[in-house]
Amino acid sequence: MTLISDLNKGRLVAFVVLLVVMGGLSLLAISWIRVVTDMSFFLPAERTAQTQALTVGMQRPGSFIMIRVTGDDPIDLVQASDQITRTLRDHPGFAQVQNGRPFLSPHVQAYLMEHRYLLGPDIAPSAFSIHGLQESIADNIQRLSTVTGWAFRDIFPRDPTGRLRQVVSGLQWQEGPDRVAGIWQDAQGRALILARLHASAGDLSAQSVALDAIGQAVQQVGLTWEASGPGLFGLRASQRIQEDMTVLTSLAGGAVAVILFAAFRGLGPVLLAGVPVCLGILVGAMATQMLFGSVHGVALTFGAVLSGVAVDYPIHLMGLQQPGDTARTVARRISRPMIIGAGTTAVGLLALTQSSFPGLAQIGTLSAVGVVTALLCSLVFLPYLVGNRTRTPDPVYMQAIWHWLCQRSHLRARARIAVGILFVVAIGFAVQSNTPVWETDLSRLNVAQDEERRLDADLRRSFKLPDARQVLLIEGSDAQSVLDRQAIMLPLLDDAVAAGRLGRYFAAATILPSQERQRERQDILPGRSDLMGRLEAATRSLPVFAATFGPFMNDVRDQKNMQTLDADALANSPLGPFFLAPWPVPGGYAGIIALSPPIQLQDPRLTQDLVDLVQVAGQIIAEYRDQAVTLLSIGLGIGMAMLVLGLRHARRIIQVALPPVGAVVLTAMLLLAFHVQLNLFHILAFLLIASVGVDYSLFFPTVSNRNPVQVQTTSTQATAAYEFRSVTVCCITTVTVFGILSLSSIPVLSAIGMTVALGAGLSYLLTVFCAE
Amino acid sequence: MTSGLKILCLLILLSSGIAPLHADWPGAWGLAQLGEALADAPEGRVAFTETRSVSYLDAPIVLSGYVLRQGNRLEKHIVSPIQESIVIDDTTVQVDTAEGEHHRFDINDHGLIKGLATALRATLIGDLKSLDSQFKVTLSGADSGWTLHLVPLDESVRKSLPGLTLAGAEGFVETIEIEGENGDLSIMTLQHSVP
Repeated sequence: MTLISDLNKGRLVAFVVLLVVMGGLSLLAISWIRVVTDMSFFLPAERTAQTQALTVGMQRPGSFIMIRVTGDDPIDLVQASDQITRTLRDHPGFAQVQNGRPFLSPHVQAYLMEHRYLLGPDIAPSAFSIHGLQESIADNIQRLSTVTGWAFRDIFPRDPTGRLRQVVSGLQWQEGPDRVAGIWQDAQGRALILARLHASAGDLSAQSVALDAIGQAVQQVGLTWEASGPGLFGLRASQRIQEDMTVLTSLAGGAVAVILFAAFRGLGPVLLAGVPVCLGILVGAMATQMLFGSVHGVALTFGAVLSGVAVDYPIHLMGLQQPGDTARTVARRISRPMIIGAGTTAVGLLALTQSSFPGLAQIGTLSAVGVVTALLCSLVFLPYLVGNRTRTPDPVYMQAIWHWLCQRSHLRARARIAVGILFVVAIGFAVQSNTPVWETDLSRLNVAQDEERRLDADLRRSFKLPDARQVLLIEGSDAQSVLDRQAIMLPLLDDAVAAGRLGRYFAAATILPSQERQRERQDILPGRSDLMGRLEAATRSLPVFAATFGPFMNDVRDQKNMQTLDADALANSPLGPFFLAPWPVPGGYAGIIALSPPIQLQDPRLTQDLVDLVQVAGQIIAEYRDQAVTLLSIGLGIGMAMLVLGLRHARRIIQVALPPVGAVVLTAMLLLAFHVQLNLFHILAFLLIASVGVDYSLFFPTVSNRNPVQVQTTSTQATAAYEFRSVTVCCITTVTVFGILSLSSIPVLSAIGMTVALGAGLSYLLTVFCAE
Repeated sequence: MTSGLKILCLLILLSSGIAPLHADWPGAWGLAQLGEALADAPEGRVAFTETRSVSYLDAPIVLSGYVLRQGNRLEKHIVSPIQESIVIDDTTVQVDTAEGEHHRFDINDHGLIKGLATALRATLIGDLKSLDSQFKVTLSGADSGWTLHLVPLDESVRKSLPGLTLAGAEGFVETIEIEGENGDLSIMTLQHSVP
C-alpha cells in the first residue's frame, strides 16, 4: 500500500496523530453522546399540552401489541390462542396478555383487592348497612354454587360482598373484540390477542424482545400471525432503516472507492477522502451533545448527510496537486475559494441553529461545526498526511474532454438556451400543477409503510381500541383537578356510548376517583367494631358466622385508614400500564381520554376538549417547515454576502452564485412539475445542493482562465484540466452516493437522495454551461 | 385460579357418575366386572341434587339440575339456585353462566384436571386399570351395594382433592362424594329412573 510504503517522518507523525485523535474522539463520542430516537425531533422546544399529547403515548409505560393469528381449524385456533396467551404470560416483558378469557394477573388482582374500596365504581351509601350487607352476602353465598362463583371460594371470607368482582368488571381493558368460543376473534374468524408491555412504545429494544417472544410463541403452534402496535412502527422503521443503510452505505462506499481509485489510481486518496468528513461529524456531534445535552438520531443522520459536502475538500486537495506541488502548496492555493465555499455553507447552516425546534437547531449545529472542522482538517492537517509526492496521475482523459469543451463554446451557448427553455417549461408545469407545493399528508413524512398503517387501522378496529387521532385533552392546575374534570365527563361519555355516538372510552378517572371522593368512601366504611356488630346482625338469618369475616373486617379497617391514592401512586402500581396518568405541562397538568370510533360527540362540554392530534402534528410540521424556509433564506442572504465579500467582482459573483441558485430553483420546479410535494427534508436537500453547487462553481476553471481567485502556478490549460477533473470527480461522487440513497425503501431517504442527486447534477451542468 | 380449576375437577368426576352400571356379573365380582359394566353404559339424562358443604358455612348450599351423557361428552346443567352449564369433552371444559359469560379450560392445563379427566375416561370406557397410575383405587362391597374409593397418588393433587367416593347399587352410581380442601365436602345424589 503506497500510503504506508513511503511514510516519511512527518507523515508518520500525522498518521499516528490521526489514529489517536480519531480513536480518542470515537471513544469519547460513544461513551458521551446520548442519541435520542423519539418523536422529540419534530417538536418545538416550547411544549404545550397539545404537542405533548403527541408524544406522551410513546413515552409512558404500558404500550401494547395487537396480535392476529390465522388458522384453518376453529378448534385448533382456540387452543392455539390459549397456548400463545399462556406462553406470553410467563414472559417477563408483558404486564398482561389477554385473548378474551377473563384473566387478571395476580399482581393486579392483589393490588385491586388491597384498594378495592378506593378504586373503581362508587360504593352505594347503603352498602354497609345491615340490610345491604345481608343482601350482598346472601347473593355471594348463592354464587358459590356456580363454577365462576366457586373461583371466589377462598376469598369469600375476605370479600363476602363481592366488591372485587364489581371493581374488576368495571375495568375497561377487560372488554374488547367479540368472543367466539370464548376467545376474541374478528369477523374473519382470526384469533385476536392483546399483549400489554411494561415498557413504553419508544423503548425499541423492549419492543424487539416482545416481538421475538410473540414470534416464538406462535411458532410453537405453527400458525401464521400478524402484529401491530404503537411501538412496532418505530421498531420496524429502525430495522428497515438499518437494513437499508447497511446495504446503501456499503454500495455507496464501494462506488465512491471505485470512482476515487479510478481518478487517482491509489488507495491513499480513497482512504484519506473520508477523513475530514468523519472528523467533522464526530466533532459536530460532540458540539451538539454539549449544547443540547443529547443528539437526536434524525439530526445526527441529516447533520451527517449535510456535512457530506466536505468530501469535496480532500478531493480538491489531492486532485489539484500538480507535478512539483507539495500538498501544502495546494492547500495554500485553494484555501481562499475553499474557505469562501465552506463559509457560505456554514453560515447557511448556522442560521438553522436559531430555530425554536431543537431538532432543526441540532442539524444546523452539527453540520455547521462538521463543515468547518472538515475544512480545517483538509487545509491544516490533511496536507501532512497526503505528503509531498505527487501520486495522482495526470488527468489525461479529462484534459481531452476539457479541450473538447473549450472548443465548442457554441454548444454551451445552445445548452444555456436549452436550460432556459427547460426552466420556463418546468416553471410552467409547476405553476399549472394543482398539486399543493407543501406536503400536508403527514403519513408521507412517516417512515411507516402503507401496509403497516393499514394493518394497524384494521387491528385497532377489530380490537375496538381507540384511534390515535382524536382524544379529549383535559388540562388542570394539578393532576387531581385533571382527574376531577374527567370524573365530571364520565356520565356524559356514558350517555354518548349509550346513544351510539361513541364506541368506547378510556379514562384514568374510571379507575381512580378523586382523592376527595376516596375520602367520602372511607367515611362510608364503618369502623371495625361497628362493622362487627352490623355483620352479626346481617348474618343472623344466613348460614355463616360473622367471625368468618375477620379478613374482611381487617381489609375494611385498613382501607378506611389508608392514604388516599393519587395519580403517581397508581402510575407506580401494578395498574400503571393500564392507567393514562395525567402528566405535567407548562402551567399545570394534562390528561387524555382516549376514544374508540365511532366518535360523533355533540355535547359541547365534551367537544370543547376534543383535539385532533393529526391536525396538531400537521400544524407543527407546517410551522417547522416555514421556520426552516425562513431561516435558510436568511442563511442564504448571509451566504451571498459572504460570497460578495470574498469574491468582490460582480461578474465572478454572478458566475459562482448562478449555477447553485439555478440548480436549486430548477430542481424544485422539476419536482413540482412531477407532482412531488415538498417537505422539510427537501428543504435540507436544497441546502446541500446549494453548498455543493457553490463548491463546483468556485473550483470550476474558467474557459478563458482569468480566474481572479486562482493563483496561477503552471500553464493555464494544465491547471484547468486538474480543476475540471477535481470538480467532475466531486460531482460524480455526490450524484452516485445520493443516487444510491434514492433507491432506499424509506420515502424520506429516497426523496432526499433523488433531490440531491438531481440538484448536484444540474448544478454541475449549469456550472459547465455558464463557465466563461 | 386454582380454586376454579379445583371445582372443575370435581365436576368432571360428578359427571362420571351418570353412567349407569347395569350388567350381570357372573362369578367373582371386582374391578374387571365393574369396568365391563361401565364400558357398556347407555347414554341418558339424569336428575341430581347436590349438597355442597363449605368449611365456613354452617349450612350447605343445595344445587339441583340434571346431567347428560352423549358419547364422550358430558354435560352438567345446574338449574337452581343459579343457572349454569358445564360441558366436558375429551380435552376441554366449557362453562356458560346465566350472565352470558363463557369460559373454556383445557384439561391438560393442570395436573389435577388431567388426572381427573383420565379417571373419567377410564370410567367411561371401562378401563379401570388405567386409574392405577394416578389413583389408589379401593373397591369394596358387592354388586348389590359397592363403593369405589379413589385417592390421588400425586401429593399436590391430593392437597386440594383428598379423595372421592363413588357408591352405587348394582348397575347404578347413586352418590358421589368429593372431599375438598379445609374439610369441604360435596355430595351429589343421582335420581335414576329405573330402566
